[in-house]
This record gives sequence, structure tokens and C-alpha cells, in this order.
Amino acid sequence: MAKANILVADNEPDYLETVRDFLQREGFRVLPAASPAEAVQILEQGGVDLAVIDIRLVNDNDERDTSGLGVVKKYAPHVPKILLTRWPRYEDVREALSGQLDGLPNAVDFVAKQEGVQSLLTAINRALHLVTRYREMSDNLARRINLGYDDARQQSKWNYWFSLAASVIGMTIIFVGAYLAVNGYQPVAIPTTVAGVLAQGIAVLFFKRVDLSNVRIDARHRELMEIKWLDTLMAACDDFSTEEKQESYKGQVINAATQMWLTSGSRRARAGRLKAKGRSAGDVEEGVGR
Amino acid sequence: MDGKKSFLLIDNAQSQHWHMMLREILAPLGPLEVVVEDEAVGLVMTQRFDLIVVDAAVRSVPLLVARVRAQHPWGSIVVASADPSWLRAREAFQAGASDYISKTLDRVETLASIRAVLFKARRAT
Repeated sequence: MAKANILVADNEPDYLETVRDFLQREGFRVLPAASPAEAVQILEQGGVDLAVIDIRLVNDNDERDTSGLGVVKKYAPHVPKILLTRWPRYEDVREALSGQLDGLPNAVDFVAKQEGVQSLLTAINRALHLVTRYREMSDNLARRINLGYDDARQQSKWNYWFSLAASVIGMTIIFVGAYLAVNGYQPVAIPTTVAGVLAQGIAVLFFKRVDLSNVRIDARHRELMEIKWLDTLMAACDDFSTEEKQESYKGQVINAATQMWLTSGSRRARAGRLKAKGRSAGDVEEGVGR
Repeated sequence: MDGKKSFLLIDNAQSQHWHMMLREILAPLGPLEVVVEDEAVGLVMTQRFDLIVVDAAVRSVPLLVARVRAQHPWGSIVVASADPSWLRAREAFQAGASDYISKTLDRVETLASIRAVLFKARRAT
């Protein structure tokens, strides 16, 4: 089974063949395209894990030919792309790698043909590694968010219906008690009314549980976002060129995350203690400020 | 209308023309602080800037950009080079730069590049 499906778009037949043979030997399935139209067709068919696209896809001698860049910009934004060129210029690197209006760059990497197929392979492996890691991360995160949400929403829903039912029953009993009192059945009316009030009290308790379930949903979201931030930063550390740098930055990320969690953990615990005492953390901080 | 922005220029060379031009074109947007490379990392740890311009003449652009990026994950970092090259541009982007511009004395071009970076940063957030 192929490691990944890679679209390679280049109008130089010799180069295309060289890259195709090389990548196939490395275990990839190569989808070759010799023109912008072919590249677009393959991208629109789907099933492409990564695209390697030459900037000048129509005429290699035309400086103004940026047809490959056009394909990168307009088609299959979800497919990571590597821009390839025989005439690298810093303006093209800017166009490829600087963030666009949505904050994302047009391409994930930029490779000059002169760097050789080995450099292209390194760029492909790096891009696929990052893509796989991000996909696994987001799939895992989506699964966990859904599970947590479903659980908390289910609990919230049951609490809501219990509290509504208890409230309706309580009100009905109170009305029955009042009716009995008006019609002279005081010995029965008093305990009935008391039972109605108790049922209302139970309803209030269930409503409070609904509030707690909502707080739980918020907390789950916050925790998942913190995990996502950490995963994203750790994945970004893998992008550094040397292992020494990667380890150094991972260490910094872990330190920062630990400090953040410990600080927010103690803040939450303090807020909980204050809430139990009937004061908000804000009141205390204002007091300290004064 | 946005409030005043804050800018930082990290530059070891004493290119007064470039400093003055940058200060002048950024003046309507906000103040520009200029520091040398060794002071930069300490400063960005304690202060937030809307945009950080790194002169490509510093000792190691990728290392400095990565260190600044670690402190400003969502901030804008622009590398300005008097002698722009595609290889150094790629290194800068891979280290986390938002843009790589030519250190030209053309005010309009420089201001347009900086405004574009600020605009993209605002849109992306």
C-alpha cells in the first residue's frame, strides 16, 4: 500500500518522470500532471494527500507565468501544497509561505529544483508528518469534544425535565391544597400544601443541577482547548531543523503549559473556595487592590 | 478606528536612514522602539508589540525569529533584508515570520507591506 497519494504537476517531462520514479521508489503513489488543467482535474477528483506544483506550469521561459501558483491558490484549499520552481525568487517565497487573509499560507513549503529530489523528499515527508499529526490531533479532539458534549447535554436534558416535572407537580399540589382549604378541608389541605412546597424545592435543586451541567460543558471546552494549544505547539516544535532545537523548544512549551495549568488550577480552586463562602474572586482581588 | 499600535525594531546595525524612515512612516500608527538583538528577547518577554520588525543583519534570523515567536505566538513578525534572497526568506518563514520584505527606502512600499501584515493579523484573529 502506498504511503500517500502525491500530485506532482510540472510541464517539464524529464523532471516529472525523474520525480515520479524517485517518489514511487520511496513508496508513494504519484499522480502526474503536465498542465494546470490536468492538475486541477486531479485535485478536484479528490484523494490527494499532498500536491507538489511547479510555479511555471505553462511556459518555463515566461517570467510572468505563475499558473502553478494560481492552481495552488484557487483549488483544493484543504490539500497541503509544496511549490516547486527552477527560478526561485524571494517574492515567490513570500507569495507561497506568508499568511493570507485567513491566516493560512498558500503552500506549506517551497523547494527549488536545483536543491535536488532528496530535498523535495525531505519537504514532502515533513509536510506529511505535520499533516498526519494535525489530522490525528483534530480527529481525536473532535471525538472527545463530541463524547463530552453528548454526556453533559444528556445530563443537562434529564435534569431539566426532572425539574420541570417536579415544578408542575408541586404547583398542582399547591393548587389542590388551596382548593381543599377553600372548601373547608383544612386537615388535608395543610399537609397537601406543604407537600407542594417541598416538590417546588426539589424542582429548584434540579434547576441548580442544570446550571452545574452547563458549567461542566464550559469547563470541558476550556480543558480541550488547552490540550489543543499544547498539541499544536508540540507539533510546531518538530518543525525545527535540529533535534537539539526541537527538544529545547518542547521543554519551553511544557514549562509554560505546566505553569499555566498550575496557576489556573490554583485560581479555580481559590474561586471555588470563595464561591463556597459566598464571595467572588473578583471581590477579593478588588479588596487586595484597594 | 483602531487605537495606537506599538512597534519594535530589532537591529544590530546602526542604519540611521532606515530607522528614521521607519519611525516616520509608522508615526501615525504608533511609536517605534529600537533595540539590538541581545536586548530583544528580554524585552518581548515583558512587553507586547503589534508588530516586530527584525533586521536580517542580526546574527541568526531563524533563531531570533523562533525565540520571538515563542513569546508572541499570535503577533506579527516581519523580517527586513537589504539583500533579500529566497533561501533566507524560506528560513525566516519556517522559523515563524509573518512576512519577509526588502529593506527598501521606498516609504510607500514599506508602509504598504507593514499595513498588509497588520491587516492580515487582524483578519486572522
